[in-house]
Amino acid sequence: MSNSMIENNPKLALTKAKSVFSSVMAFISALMVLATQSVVAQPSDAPSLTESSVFEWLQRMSETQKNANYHGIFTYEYGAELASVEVWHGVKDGHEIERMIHLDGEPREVIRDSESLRCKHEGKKLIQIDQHDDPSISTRAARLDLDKIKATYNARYIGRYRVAGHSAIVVELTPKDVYRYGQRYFIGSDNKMLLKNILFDGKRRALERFQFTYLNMNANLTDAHFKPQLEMVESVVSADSETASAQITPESELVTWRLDWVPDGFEQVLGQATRQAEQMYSDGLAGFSVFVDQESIPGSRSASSLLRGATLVYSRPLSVQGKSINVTVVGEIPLTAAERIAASIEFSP
Amino acid sequence: MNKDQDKSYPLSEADREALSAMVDGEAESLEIRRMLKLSGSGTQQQADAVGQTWARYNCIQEAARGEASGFQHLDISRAVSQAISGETPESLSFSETATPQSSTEQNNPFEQKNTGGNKSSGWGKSLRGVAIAASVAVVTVIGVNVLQQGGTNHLPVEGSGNMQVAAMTSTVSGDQGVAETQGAMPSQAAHPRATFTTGANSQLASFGTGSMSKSMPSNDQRFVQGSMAEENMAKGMPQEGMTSAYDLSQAKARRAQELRKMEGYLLKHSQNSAISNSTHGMIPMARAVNYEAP
Repeated sequence: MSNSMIENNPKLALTKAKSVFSSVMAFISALMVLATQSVVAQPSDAPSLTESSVFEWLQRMSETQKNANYHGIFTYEYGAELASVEVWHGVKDGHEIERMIHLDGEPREVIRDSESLRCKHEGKKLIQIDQHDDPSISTRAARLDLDKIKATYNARYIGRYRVAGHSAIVVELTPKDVYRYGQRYFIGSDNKMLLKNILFDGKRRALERFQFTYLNMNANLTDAHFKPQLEMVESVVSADSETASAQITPESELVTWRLDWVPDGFEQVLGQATRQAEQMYSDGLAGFSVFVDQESIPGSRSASSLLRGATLVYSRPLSVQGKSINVTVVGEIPLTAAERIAASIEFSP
Repeated sequence: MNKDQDKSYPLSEADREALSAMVDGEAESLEIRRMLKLSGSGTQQQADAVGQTWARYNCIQEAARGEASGFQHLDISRAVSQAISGETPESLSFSETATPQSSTEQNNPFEQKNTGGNKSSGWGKSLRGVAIAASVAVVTVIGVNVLQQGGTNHLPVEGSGNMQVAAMTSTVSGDQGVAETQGAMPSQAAHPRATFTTGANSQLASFGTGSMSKSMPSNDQRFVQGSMAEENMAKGMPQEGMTSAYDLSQAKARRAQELRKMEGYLLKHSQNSAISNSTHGMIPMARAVNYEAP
């Protein structure tokens, strides 16, 4: 992993080529070949895309991901970590169904269909999973809302590339403000799949990278592929009382609260008035959740944060109506945004 | 906030907790920011307390792991400021008084410069200045490396479900927190944990060791060299040392608890995203179950 993560920076390659040109003439032709190879090729028959057609590609990609049958292996890279995952995805009787198995470490399996999300771990180490009890939410409801995205991101065509043996077009969404991250998408030119995705910060450094290393769009998928393969304890909150969820305060003890400020374009997508412990917001691409709990750790404490991959956890203690309350903002957003969001919280009796 | 908050110890529990986290290389940007501020723009007492506590925590950590560096006695920050502020030959003698029995190579440059400097002027003097700065830098680098090992070679927190805090965020001063640009976010991909820790420790290492030799007699070198922290503590700094060790374990326990809670929320958020995110297909799912990656 490198600092200048965004692959194939043409400038870099050019500078390199130039300096060598001036000093060692003999190698110039060889180097030029190298340089052109590493630069994202933009053949003349592949004109660059307008912003609106970039959005069209994103739309198509989003639909393909839901409607196609495929089998693949992808890597997910965050921080200094790399994980590989095998995935089967299909549509059965009009329902989207997906199974994922983690290939590294302890076996874990996730099965998602349009009604529920189930997560299974081998052994009793499983943390938790929600059978989402909010009837207004189903995994099918999520659709790419282009208007929403256009309002907060600029889209740009970058070039062409090849990922996992598939040719791809490369496009980028950069945020219009400092409250969200940018994204680079590598979309299969033929299969319209998201082949690779990089999430980067304001300095264009990668926070998280996802990439198929193998993808078969003509997989002959059967029911067997979506059956749980691992003998596992179904996602229950683990018996281990030390798990985090055990520490989350029951709703009844909570105060009523609302956020007075969220970055432009973010709308609440989860958490109704009845679920006051937790709310989730999304701008169409990025999302953050807000949790409010009663401070279980006695003693004073200052705000703290933790960053894992692109996901930030920012926690801030407050004193409300004589109670010690903890506001935690979690999401793929910069610290600036999380701080402001947490600071905007308002409580009512 | 607590009783022992007297003149010599004006640090709150949260401050000590933050320092403890910094020793472990687990502090968050906000904490580091606060500590740097306190040591830089707080009162002299506060600055001293931060420096001394930092130095003590480092000693405890190192002694507990039997990794005492033997460099703690070097008063680097004082040496640097003296080297900078128009030094006289006498001012260089710190290397002799502060490290009487030490025979490490790091002392040789000092001594050579010292004798060489007596004879020269003009060119010689300025060259000597450079040489002094360079030799101070050598010592600093070695000292920092040692400290850094202590800070990073044991990973996160006991019983924290193995989740690795891959990196901490770093931002500009709290006063302008809101105005801060997005660009202030460091990259995960660039191994920020390593760089970040180095940055924090090297800044702190100099003031830490500096205050340290002020507060300890220079022959107290033995203090950090045993492998049993408590035993040495009792010899070296009877009362304060014990208090610190206690604080340290308390602070750690609290941090562990706090981290567990944060991890729980992290997971919950990932699951929320897996349900509501439309564009990224399986990415939120991958996030959600990567929880246990060691």
